Amino acid sequence: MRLLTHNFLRSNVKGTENGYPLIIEVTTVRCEESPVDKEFLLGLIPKVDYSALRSAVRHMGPHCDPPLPDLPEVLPSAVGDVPSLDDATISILHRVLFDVYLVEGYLVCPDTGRKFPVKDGIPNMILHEDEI
Amino acid sequence: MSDLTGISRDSELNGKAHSSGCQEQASDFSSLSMKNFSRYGNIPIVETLESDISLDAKMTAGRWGGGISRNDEINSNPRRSSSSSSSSSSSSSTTTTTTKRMSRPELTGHASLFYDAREAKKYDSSSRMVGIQREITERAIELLKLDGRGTVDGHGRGSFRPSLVLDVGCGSGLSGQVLEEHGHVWLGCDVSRDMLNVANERMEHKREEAAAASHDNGGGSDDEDDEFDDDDDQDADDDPSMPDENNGTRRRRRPSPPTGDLLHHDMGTGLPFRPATFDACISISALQWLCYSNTRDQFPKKRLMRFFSSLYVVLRRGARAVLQFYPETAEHAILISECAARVGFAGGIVVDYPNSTKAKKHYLTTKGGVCVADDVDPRRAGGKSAGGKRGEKAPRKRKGVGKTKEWILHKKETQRKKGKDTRMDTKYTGRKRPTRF
Repeated sequence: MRLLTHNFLRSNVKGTENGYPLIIEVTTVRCEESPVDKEFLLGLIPKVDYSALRSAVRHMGPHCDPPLPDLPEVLPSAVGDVPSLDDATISILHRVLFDVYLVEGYLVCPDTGRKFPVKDGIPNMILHEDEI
Repeated sequence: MSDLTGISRDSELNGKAHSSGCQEQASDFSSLSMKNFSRYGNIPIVETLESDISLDAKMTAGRWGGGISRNDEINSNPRRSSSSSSSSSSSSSTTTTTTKRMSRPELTGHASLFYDAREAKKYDSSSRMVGIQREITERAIELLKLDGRGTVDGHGRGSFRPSLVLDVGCGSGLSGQVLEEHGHVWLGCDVSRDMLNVANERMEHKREEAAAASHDNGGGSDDEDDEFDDDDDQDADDDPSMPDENNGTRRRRRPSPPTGDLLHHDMGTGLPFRPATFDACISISALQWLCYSNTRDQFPKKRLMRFFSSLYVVLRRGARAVLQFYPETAEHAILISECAARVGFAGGIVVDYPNSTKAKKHYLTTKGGVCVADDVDPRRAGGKSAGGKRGEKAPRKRKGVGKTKEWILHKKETQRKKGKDTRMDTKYTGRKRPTRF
């Protein structure tokens, strides 16, 4: 599971108010490399919840090889429709969003504490009928 | 070309039964207009004929080997035939029957139980199913209308821009692969873990391939590519007229790492995403599973409503969703489209190959907020224009009102015209009875 996916995921167990962001409990992490698509990334950034991404990076960072750098506090002019970013920031963001995978671990709902296991990189978000 | 062998076998079986019928149909429809409009519930339906499908018709004809087999083959719910080992005999017997007679895996139980490891492997390795899935996905992407013309991103840019697409019921990732070829980033969810494992393996494979290619400087990558997934590459090479060649070919030539991600999830429990996340949603042959209840505490309508309401929230404003499904009966199609309409989706069902029992494909094409189908004429779609407000009911007529003297006279007149025995009109006609009764 990518951090991009994590950024969009929320828990919808019965009794959650917000269910976002899911807390990451890391067991295994994998890093890949992929070509940067600047255009797409810039279009994506307004949709990404930056503070959730930062906290996810803080959870995942130490497990990566090499460790992920901390993201800047705030993105420069992130409020506008197309943020103006320098190439270094873009490549960091790309690496964080697309190239870091959570392979084994858990996603924990912040409200209810329900644990969603992640196995082979696929999070299991299946709910029982009484959890809806 | 391995899929052609399977097809020609089937078309031999079906060809005799169908050859005369097809020609008749063809001549019938040539005189009709291209589109027929009818209604399913509140949702307009667009029926397209073969020639109307702008997935290059020639390519289709070439691939499916002529008019007769085209009608028979594109078709048949691959998931259906997958369950019957004797698919050739069943397909020949079903040419004259309705879809109801076909075996439906939906009736056998939960999707995750049906698509076990064996079935998933079989599903993914059958080149016929791969072909059908690809065909449907191409059509769905076409219906999404989200290439670089700025129709979706709203910026009006001429350049191509990938979209973030949600694939509901992605299965073994066949549809995701097509999305990748079109250059989109996708997120698939499915209820069957075994199908997801197959998808995961494939993506793993692609990743290794991409890594190897980048190390080898991309020189011999083409050959490797062909070795690994020859089915898909054949398909891709067969149609030079694929949309967005620039991006598509570039991506295909040099194996790029997969752009998808997977999620194990049951769509009937509502999609677990933040609001306004996705640019589009597709679903290939999955929605009909929601029409069945596999356990006692599952109610199809409830699950459909949950799915659609969460889908509405998850999609960006104005984003489209194209959901292809195989309704067992007309009621299922109505149920699905009504649930979509109630949630606030506008749009309709596009039916491809409406005159074939097997090739018929239903695509629920919806858009949040505004009327989606530029090609659906709201007048002909039947009264309620798409985009009707939620919960707005026509005022109910009160009983008894309306039976005025004119109404009675008119009614008597029509009865008389029909030759029925009717009392003559007098000054007492339409008067109230005295109250002493």
